[in-house]
Amino acid sequence: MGYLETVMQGGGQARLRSRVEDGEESEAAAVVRRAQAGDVDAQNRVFRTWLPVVLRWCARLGGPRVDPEDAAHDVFVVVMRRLGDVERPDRFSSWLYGITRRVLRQHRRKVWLTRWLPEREVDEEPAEDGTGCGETWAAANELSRQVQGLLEALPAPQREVLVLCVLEDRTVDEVSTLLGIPRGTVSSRLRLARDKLGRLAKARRLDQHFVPTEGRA
Amino acid sequence: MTAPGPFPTDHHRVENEQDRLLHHLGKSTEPPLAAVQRVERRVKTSLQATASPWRWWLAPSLAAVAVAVLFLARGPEPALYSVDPLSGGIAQVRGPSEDGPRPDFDDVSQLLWVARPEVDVAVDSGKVQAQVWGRGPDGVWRPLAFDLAPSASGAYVFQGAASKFFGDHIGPWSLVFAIGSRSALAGPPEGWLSHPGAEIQVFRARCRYLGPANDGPPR
Repeated sequence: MGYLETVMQGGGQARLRSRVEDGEESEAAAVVRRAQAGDVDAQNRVFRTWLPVVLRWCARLGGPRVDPEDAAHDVFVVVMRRLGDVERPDRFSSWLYGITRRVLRQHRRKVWLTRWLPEREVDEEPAEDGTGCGETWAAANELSRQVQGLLEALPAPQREVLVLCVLEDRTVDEVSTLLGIPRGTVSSRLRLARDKLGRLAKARRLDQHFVPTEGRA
Repeated sequence: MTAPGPFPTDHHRVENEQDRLLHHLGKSTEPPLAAVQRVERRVKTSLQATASPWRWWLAPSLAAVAVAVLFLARGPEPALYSVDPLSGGIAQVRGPSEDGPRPDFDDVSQLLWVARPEVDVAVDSGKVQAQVWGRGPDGVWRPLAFDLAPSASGAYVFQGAASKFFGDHIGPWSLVFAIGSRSALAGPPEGWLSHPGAEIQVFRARCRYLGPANDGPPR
């Protein structure tokens, strides 16, 4: 089973990427190269591999009023049009994250400008293709929205480090590469973000939400 | 750098309550497969739409053809004797062939300019005056006509052979036709052009003087 397929297996898999070896890494880069050359299968694999990642980024970094599906759509339209511009396929994720960041900034600006308008009604009807209704999966419950509110109160650089390190379980090295900043900066931002988030959670009485029944690894 | 897997449900390490909160958010922002497929379809539809010949090749081509047709069908070039559209003045030339406006003036051309005030500029009708000034290729303003009298219809007419006004100064000319009170019209036309007020109306035109014509004597 190739790396890309393995990644998409999901479920209770262990931290797959920490086990990924160099050969598997280069396979991902090779897929990007083939996609650049117009290989439709490779382009579909880029979709299958990276679209869920981008959707997560959009849902977690976009804030409560940004529609993650709209944002991910815009990101991937740019990605597929500019795929040929990728000079380092082995750094595809950094390139992709840069595009996501820019698109999210545009979407956040747009919702900020229209913040006084009434929120869009959520379509409760399933989609015609039977895949269920959109817009309801991301942070659908009240606690998630409150946590999103906490994240929104953080400065953007701290928020993205916290999301990537804690929500996405990436290592400091990975985040350093992804954001193109030194490891020490990632660590310090992470520490500041944790401190501030802890204070905010306490102030909003969200820190007592969970009874510590889960075993700690 | 590799693509991360889905949110780690069983193997993540919960460090503190804040992380628990974040992990709760992580679980609730895990995109379902249906959402992924939905976005993929939307993206592919968008890419197909933008890649269609109609959008990227055919439509611009048709637009270019339409513009070209309009350009060719628009009639005689008005720009060479154009008048400031805000002013409402009219400038035209009658050449020897009587075939309507010509783009350039030669010395047999009759310069005809009819200007009709759009508003009543007559603060005191006894003191209203019309003047025509021209700035030739040497950049010097020259008075071409003073004390034009209004016709019965209220229009002011400036008429004469181009060579009479332009002399030996062959090249581009800027013409100014100003109607207003004598006091407002005192001084060179730069002031009128930069500060046209209610007491004065300014009409402007541009033309190119070709000099003596070779196609026959003046009529």
